[in-house]
Amino acid sequence: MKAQALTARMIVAGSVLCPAHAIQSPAPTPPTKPISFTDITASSGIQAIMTSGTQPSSQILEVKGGGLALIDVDDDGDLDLFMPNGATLADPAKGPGARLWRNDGGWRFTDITEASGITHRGWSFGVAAGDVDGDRRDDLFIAGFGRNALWLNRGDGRFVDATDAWGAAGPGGWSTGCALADLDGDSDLDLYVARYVDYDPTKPLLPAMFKGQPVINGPKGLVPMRDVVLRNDGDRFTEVTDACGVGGVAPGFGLNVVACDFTGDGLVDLFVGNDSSGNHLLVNEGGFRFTERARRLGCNTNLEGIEQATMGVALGDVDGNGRPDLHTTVFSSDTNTLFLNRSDGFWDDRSSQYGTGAPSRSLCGWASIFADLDHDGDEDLFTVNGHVYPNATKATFDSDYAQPRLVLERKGSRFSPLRSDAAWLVSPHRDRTAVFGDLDGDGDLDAVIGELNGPLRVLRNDHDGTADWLVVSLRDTRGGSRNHRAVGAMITVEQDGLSQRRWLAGGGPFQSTFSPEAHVGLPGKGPVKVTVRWPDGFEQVATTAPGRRLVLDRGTP
Amino acid sequence: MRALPTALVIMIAGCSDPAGDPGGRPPRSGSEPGSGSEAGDPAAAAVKIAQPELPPEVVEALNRADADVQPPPPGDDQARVALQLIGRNHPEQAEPVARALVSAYPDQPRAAFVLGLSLHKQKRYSDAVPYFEQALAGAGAIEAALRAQQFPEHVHVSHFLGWARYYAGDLDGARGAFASHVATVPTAGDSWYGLALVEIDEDQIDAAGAALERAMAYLPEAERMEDSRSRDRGKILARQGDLALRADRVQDAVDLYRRALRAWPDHYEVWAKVARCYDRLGDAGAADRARVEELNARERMGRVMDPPKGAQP
Repeated sequence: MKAQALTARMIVAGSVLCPAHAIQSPAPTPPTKPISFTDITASSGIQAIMTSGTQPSSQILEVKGGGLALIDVDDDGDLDLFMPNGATLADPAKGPGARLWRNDGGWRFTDITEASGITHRGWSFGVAAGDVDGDRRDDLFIAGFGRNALWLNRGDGRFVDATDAWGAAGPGGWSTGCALADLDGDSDLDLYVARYVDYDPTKPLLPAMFKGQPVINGPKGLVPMRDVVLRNDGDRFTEVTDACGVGGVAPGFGLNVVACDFTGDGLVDLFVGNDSSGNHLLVNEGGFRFTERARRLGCNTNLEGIEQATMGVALGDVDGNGRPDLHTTVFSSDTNTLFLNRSDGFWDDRSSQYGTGAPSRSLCGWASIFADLDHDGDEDLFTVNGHVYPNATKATFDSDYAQPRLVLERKGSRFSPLRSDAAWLVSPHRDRTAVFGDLDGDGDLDAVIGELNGPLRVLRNDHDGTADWLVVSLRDTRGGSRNHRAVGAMITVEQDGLSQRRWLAGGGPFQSTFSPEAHVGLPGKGPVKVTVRWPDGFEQVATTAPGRRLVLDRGTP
Repeated sequence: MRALPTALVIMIAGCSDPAGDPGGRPPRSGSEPGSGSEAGDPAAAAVKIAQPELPPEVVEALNRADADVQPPPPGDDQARVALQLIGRNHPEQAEPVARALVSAYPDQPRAAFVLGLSLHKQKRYSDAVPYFEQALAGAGAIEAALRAQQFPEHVHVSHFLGWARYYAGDLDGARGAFASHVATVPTAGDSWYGLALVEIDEDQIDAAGAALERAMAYLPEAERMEDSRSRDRGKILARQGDLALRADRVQDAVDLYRRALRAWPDHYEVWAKVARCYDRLGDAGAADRARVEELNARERMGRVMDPPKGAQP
C-alpha cells in the first residue's frame, strides 16, 4: 500500500556538514488515543514457529531464539518479512528452514520461501537486510551457529546463495547479532558480526546452580568468541577484524549490535551489547579503524559498575539533545539500563531519572525499541520478555518463564508502564525478538514478535488513523552509490516548534534488522520540515505535510 | 536502649541494598550444586544496619514478656531454630523449618514472618512478600497487650516487606511499607534509606535527599563521625553522591564518593562510580587508579567480575 506517497527530489541545502541542531525536548503532549494493538496473526498468512532447540530448553544454544527482518524484497514500497529460523540439537545444521513472506497489502502475507529459492536451514540467530552488492535490491545476511550465509536478491523474486562467492561464511562458531553499515565511508555496506561463546553441541554442559535450583549453564565460565568485521570490496567480503582494531578488543559474550554515528562526527560507530560482560562502544576513528571506548565513556556498565547481561538494544533520542541514546535490556532481578549520550561525549545511566529501570526488575528482557506508538510526539519504549530458564517462577527466581510485554509510555520527562489487561500486552510468552514497521501503510508502527519455539505474532497498531504522522524513507540513486537505503543517515523532523530526530541505523532490536523507514508521530497541525544528513554528510531539506509517506531521493547534488 | 529480639538481629544480614546485585546474577558456568552465585554472599552477610531504637511502648511490652508472665508463643522453639539458621546465613535450611512451623500454626503471624524472612534471605523476594503481608495483617489482629510477647518482631515486619517489595519491583508498595515502618519507628535508619532508594527510582530528588539525611541522622553517633568506618555511612554517602551526579555536580559527586569510600573502602561499586566521574573530569589516570581499587575491593569482597578471558582465533 502506498497511500499518499510523495517523492521529493528537491530542496537542497548543499552543505556537507550538519549544523548543530538544537533539538527541542519533547513538549508537553496532548491526550491521544491510548496505545493499543490487535493480534491479527491468524488472518495474516504468517503462520510459523520460530525454532530454537526443543522445549524445555536444556542447553544455552537453545535459549536465544532468532531474529527477524522487515525487508522490501520486491521493491514495491511495502515491508516484507524474513525469518532465518533455528534448528535443534539433534541436527544443528538442518532445521525447518528460513521463511520469507511477501506483504500483499490489506494485512495479507504470502509465504514465498520456495519461490524465492532461499533454502537456508542452518541454525540461525541474527539477520541483517541491506543492499550488499549495490544493485539497489535488499539482500540478506544470516548469522548462525557454524556457518553464516549470504543470500543476494536477484530482483526477479529469487535469491541466490552467495556465501562462498562473497567469503561470507565466517570463521565458524556461534554468531549472533549482525549489522550492515558503511563502516569505511566508501558508500557500500560492510558487516559487523557479534559472536557469543565457544560451544560444542556434542558436549552438553551440566547444569549450573542458581538460587538453589539447577539451571542452564553459561555464558559465564565459557570462552567468549571475538566478533568479526568484514569489509565490502564490491564483489566479496574481506575479513578486517584485526586490521580495523576490533581483533584487539577483549571479547565479550556478544549478542547484539547497533551501527550508528554515536559521536556525531559523521562516521558510523558500533555499540555491541554483551551478555554478562561489559558492552563495547567501538568508535570509528576513520580509515576503517575502531577504538573501544565504552569503559572510558561510560556505557560498558550501568551506574553501579555492574557488567550486565545485555540482550536487546533500542536506539532513540530520549533527552532531545540530538544524539542517539541507547536502552539495553538485561536479565531478571536486574534493571534495564537507559544510557544517555551526552553532548560532551560521555554516557550516563539515567534509568532512574526516566523511570525505565524499576519496571523491568522482574523481567528478562530481549528486543526493545523506541517508537512513537501513540503519535504524541515522543517515543515510547516497547520491550519483549521471557526467561531463559524453563524452571523460572516468581517463587524460585522472582521471575516467571513466560512473561508479559512491557510498554513504557513516555509522559513528559518520565516513562510509565502502560496499564491494560489487553492480551497483546499481558499474555505471557517466551518472546525473544521483535521488529516494528508500518506494515499496512496507515502511518503507525505495527509489530512482528518472535517467541522462542513459539509462533510469530503479528500486532496491528490500532492508532486512530488520523494524519498525525510521517514516514520517511531514503533512496540514493546516484550512480556509484551502493548504499541505496542510506543506512547511517540522520533525519530531523520539525513541526510547530517540536523537533524530533531519527537514525537509519544498522543492526536491530535483538538479532534483527531495524526498519529501513523512519517513523515520526506529529501532534501538531502545521507543515513539516524534514532535514536529512545523508551518510556522506550531504544535507537535504524538504517540506511536506503530516500524514505522508515521504521518499527522499539523494539524486545528483 | 533495650537489646533487640532475635529476629531483629537477623536484620543485619542482607536486607538493604547490599553490595553487588541483591537479586542474584546469572550463574557462572561450571559451578557445582550449591555453589551458585547467591551462595555464601559475604557482602550480604556482612551488612549491618543501624539498629532502630524501639518505641517506649514496645520496649515496655518486651520487658513484660521478659518477666515471663506469659508462656512462650506456640512454635517458639521452631521459630528460634529457623531464625538462628537465618542468622547463620543458612536461609535455605531455615525454609523447611519455617514451612513446618507455618503448617503447624497457620494462624500464627510470627510463623509467616519467619518463613518470609527465610525466603527473603534467599533473595526470593516475590515469594516472601505474601508471607510478610500475612504476618503484618496477623499482627494487627493480636491483642495489643499480647502482641510483643507473641510476636516480638512484629514492629519491623514492614521494614522487610519494604525491601522485598522493592526488589520485586513494586516501588509503590515498597514506599508504603517503609513509610509505615518509619511512622512506627522513626529512628529506623535503614527504612529511611529504603525510602530514599524508592524516591531515587521515582526521580524525586529532594525527597530522596531528605530521606538520606534522616538515614544518616539515625546512625549510631560513632558512625556519624567523619572518617569513621561504617558500612551504613558509606552507603548513605554513596547515594548522596549519586544525587550529585544526577545533578551533574561531578566534583561534588567525587567528594561524596570519596567520603563514602573512607567509611567503607570495600564498596567496589563506588570505586566504579569514582572512576566514571574522573573520566568525566578528564583525569584518566585517576580513573584508572580507581578502577584498580575497584578490582581490589571486589577481590576482598569475593565479588570478582569474572571477566571473559581469551578469544577464539
